[in-house]
Amino acid sequence: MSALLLGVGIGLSALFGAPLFVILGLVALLAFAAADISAASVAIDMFRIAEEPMLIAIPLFTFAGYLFAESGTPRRIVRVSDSLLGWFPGGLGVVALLGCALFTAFTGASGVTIIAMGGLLLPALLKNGYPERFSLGLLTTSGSLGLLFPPSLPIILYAYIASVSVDQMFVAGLLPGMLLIVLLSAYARGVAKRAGIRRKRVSWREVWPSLKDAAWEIPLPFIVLGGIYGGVLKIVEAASITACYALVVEVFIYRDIPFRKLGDIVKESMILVGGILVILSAALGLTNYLVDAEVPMKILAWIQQYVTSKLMFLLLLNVFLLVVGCLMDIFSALIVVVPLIVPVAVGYDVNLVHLGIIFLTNLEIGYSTPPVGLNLFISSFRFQRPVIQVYRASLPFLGILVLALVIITYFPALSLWLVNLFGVK
Amino acid sequence: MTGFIDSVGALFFTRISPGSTYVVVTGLAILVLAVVRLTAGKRGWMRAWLKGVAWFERGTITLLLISMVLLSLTQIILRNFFSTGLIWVDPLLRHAVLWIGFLGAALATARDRHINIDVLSRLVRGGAGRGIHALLRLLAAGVTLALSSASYRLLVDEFEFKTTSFLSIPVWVLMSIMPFAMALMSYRFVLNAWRGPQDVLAPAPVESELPAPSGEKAVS
Repeated sequence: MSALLLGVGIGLSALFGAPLFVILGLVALLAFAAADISAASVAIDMFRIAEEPMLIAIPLFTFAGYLFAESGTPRRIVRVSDSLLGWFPGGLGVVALLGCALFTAFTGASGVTIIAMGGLLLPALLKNGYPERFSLGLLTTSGSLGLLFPPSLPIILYAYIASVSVDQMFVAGLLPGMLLIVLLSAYARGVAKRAGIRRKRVSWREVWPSLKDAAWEIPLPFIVLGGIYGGVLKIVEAASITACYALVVEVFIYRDIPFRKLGDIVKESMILVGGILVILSAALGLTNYLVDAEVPMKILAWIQQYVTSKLMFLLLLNVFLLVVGCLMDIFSALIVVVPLIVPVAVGYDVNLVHLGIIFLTNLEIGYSTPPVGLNLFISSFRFQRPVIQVYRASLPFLGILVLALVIITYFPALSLWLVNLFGVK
Repeated sequence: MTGFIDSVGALFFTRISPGSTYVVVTGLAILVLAVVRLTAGKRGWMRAWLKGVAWFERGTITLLLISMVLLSLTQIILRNFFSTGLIWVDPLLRHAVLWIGFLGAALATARDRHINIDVLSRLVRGGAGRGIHALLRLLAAGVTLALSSASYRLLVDEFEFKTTSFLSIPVWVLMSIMPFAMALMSYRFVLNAWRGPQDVLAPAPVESELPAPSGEKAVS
């Protein structure tokens, strides 16, 4: 009885906004005390943050992302992609989608994209004649597009927590990520046609200067992606090169960021990193305890009473993850939910790489799902529009994303075909 | 050098035993500091002190991160062009992640910007909302103090067993950020409970402040 009360109290504290790491730490402390294990074991698990080489990538990529967001990079990305792709039907809409996806992949954290890219793209879309509702919805949902492409942090984090190969995850995300972009682009094209937006001709006089303007940034995706897919760079090395490259290019070459602002950017980015790592650190102890207590196995046994087929399980998983995705941000959702779901999914014979892609797609959609998806609020703040208007604007996009999710979930080959084709280990 | 570090450790570990003594001593220190901070918040010396602390925190985390960037790059260059490497760099980088994580978390606490599942607090406004906010910050202060105490116990164990890590640095030194940062967070949660909810998302710029669309976007 008292345990039940305690559980309800802790649950309510979490839902009323107590920091998540505090909740996880509290549960870990209580669980260890109940099992009569020294509290020092919680600390031992927290210290495991210092034992995982892959985690080095997190501060490095995040720092690089903040550097890009604070510099002129978003403007240069928009300029180049517009000059190269503007001729495409629905041009600027597609430009927005691709630019946001690229930016999200390299910055990992979703909110940054809407703030950095949205401010440039919304006025441009409106000026081009795209309806306001469409533009708002597009930018809101694009805030998390690109999570499936390397070197996005959530992929790295999933690979670490679920103990699957990052390289496999990076290859597996390619086709599903492209599916999302292709479907959304098709929609953008339809809207552009209906709104009577004329196609733009390629202006070579603009292509060259825009390329020259971004000359220092264009090589980076090629170096990093080429390095990762070519097997030359390990993920931590890619992170290190990205951070160093961003530092040199933005501070010393473009001089977009004055030297004295560097400390503030480091501080801002490390607040996010600290927030993620301290949750991970508190969760490591708890996860260990839960696995020892065979909690995932009990969940599996309980679910197996009601759900017999793999398809049914995946459907329920989708619904569950959409709810999780709109309640929690992606990092805490991964840290808390993945360790519980992985053993259950294995029980249903779901491939863990495929599971990861399902997970990330779901959480990506959850970001823009009313009533509490984070993107909706960031977008409402950034564009000074009522949240209700943002809800309505993102609905058609959510419909498309859910369609893509269904395809990704029920056609594992979409995620696994390339992995098997190239024999990625 | 090792002798000096050991004597610094002994200064604490022999006087403050882990468990209830540590919790009482640290808890009292946190309360006293919080009261001083809140009563003298506007005084000149307090402002200078806070400015100094902010400068030091930002400086430390910047130094750690920039060294991470440079050291990891050095390692890549050594590995790929000279087929060698420094064995202490990788463990150093891993421990830098721990330090950056905990320092970053302490900074996040200062701004009351920790990741949370904030679903219900939007429904409760006014006095009740502030009350719940304060109560949860006090809960957080208690939990972080308990986590600080748990990691202090681990620290003392490592000190007694004299375990060392890379470059023969004592393990307790590498761990020392955990009890320290947790205690700092506990102190800051007490302050946050007093201050009440802050607007987490900064007010967005009004429409006219959005960057103007560049000219080349026009349909040709």
